[in-house]
Amino acid sequence: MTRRLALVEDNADNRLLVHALLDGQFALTDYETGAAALAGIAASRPDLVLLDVSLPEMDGTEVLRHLRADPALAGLPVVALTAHAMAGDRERYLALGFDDYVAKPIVDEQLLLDAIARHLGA
Amino acid sequence: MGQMTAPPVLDPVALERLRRIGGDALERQMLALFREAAPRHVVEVRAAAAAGDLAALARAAHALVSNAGNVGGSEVVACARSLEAAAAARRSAEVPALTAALDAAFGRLEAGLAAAGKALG
Repeated sequence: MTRRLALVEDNADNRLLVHALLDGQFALTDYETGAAALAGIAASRPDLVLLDVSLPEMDGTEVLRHLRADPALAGLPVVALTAHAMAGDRERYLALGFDDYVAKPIVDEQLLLDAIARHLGA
Repeated sequence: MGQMTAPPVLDPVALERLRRIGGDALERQMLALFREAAPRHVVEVRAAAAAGDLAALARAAHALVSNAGNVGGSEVVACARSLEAAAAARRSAEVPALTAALDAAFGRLEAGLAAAGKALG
């Protein structure tokens, strides 16, 4: 069965790249805002969420907070997509409740694929 | 001694990677998105800097990090990151020089893309 991923990313070229990398393997649904993502994810229950940390208006960490507060979505793997990946950031994102993070711009597609594979579960 | 090498204007690895992942079509699509969005964000940077709107400046600079990064514009990425950090930390005094640096870097990136045969009509 094809796994379904939610891609929450307001930047069109990042969405283009992620689709080019993942369209053959997964069914992606795009969201450009946190609000749209929360509504869509609650309704469609994807297998994993790729979440841009720096969305306009509601930022990614607030989206994550809402996701984690919903008991129906407990255990939903959420991978942060962030342009601010520096030393120590991994611990910070994990402490915030993300399951993993991938730095943007995505310079090594294998890191994205590995992060997804690690958290998709059986 | 202690001098940092400036990142290249155009790192060909990014476009090569796009071609490897999705052929010439993906490269063309990414360059088209760059052409559509990046100049607009540079205008937003200038306007926000002139208006002293640090929040808008940070958002526009952040958008440029992605736009430029996806086509290999490492110098613009570095300038945009510096500008975003200054705006986020409210270091207003640094904004004029960083904005000018970003402007100049963006001009070099456009010239570099054109020279590489990547200019889109």
